[in-house]
Amino acid sequence: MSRFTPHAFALLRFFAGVMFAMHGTRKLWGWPGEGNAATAALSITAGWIEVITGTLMAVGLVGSYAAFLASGTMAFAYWMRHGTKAFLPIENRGELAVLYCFLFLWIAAHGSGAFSLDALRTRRQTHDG
Amino acid sequence: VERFLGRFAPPLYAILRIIAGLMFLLHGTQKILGWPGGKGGGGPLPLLPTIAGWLEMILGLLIAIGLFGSFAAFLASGEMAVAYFKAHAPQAFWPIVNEGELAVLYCFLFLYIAAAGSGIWSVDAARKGMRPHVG
Repeated sequence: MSRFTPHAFALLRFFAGVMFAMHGTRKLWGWPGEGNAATAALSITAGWIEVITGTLMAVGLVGSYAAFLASGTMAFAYWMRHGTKAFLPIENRGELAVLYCFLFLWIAAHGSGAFSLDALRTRRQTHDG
Repeated sequence: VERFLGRFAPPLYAILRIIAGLMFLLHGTQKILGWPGGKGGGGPLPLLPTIAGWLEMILGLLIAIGLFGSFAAFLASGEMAVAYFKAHAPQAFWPIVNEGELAVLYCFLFLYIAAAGSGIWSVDAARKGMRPHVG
């Protein structure tokens, strides 16, 4: 299986990024789903961060920085909304936030990997230099 | 960020694997033992959730301690794919709406772990490290 590791990483990065961005679109424009768009300043800020960093991670452009910022946002969201309600993530409904937080922290360290714009940019640099 | 976080990639991967494994394990204990959260609420479980619960307990534990991590993660990934299409996908198209986002994320994460292996801080790594001494 190990020769598929770059492919599996690219799939994981892409789907996590897209789903993360959709939390943002739901907050900002009420789509997908039937909720209303958010009005609180904090939610709007979070929504923009999610849209922008999620998209950047999905296409793999400055993926490390985007993932680092997204990870921090999730840590903040967890302690703001979930961590105070119950101890275990499965009970306080913060499991998704925990998983995103640690996943993005690792992506920040790992970089965008294969099939990303970052990979294209690096390749061009090595050709030029 | 890559430059100053890059050398922490192996430990961060281990932390991710351990946390994901433990949270996955808790889904199993919630189904089988009714803890945490006490969702079980009386009556024996139907067959399919029982199987899913045992799979989650066993595979979650194996992934967390990193024993046969690749095989365990591959099975767990498959289980999440089944769970997604059985429980969530019929309800709505977007994962964020049908509440299957967590299942999607686990599915792809475990698929990656299946391909990459357990990494450091795992029983697999300890076993591999022992082999040259024995052989």
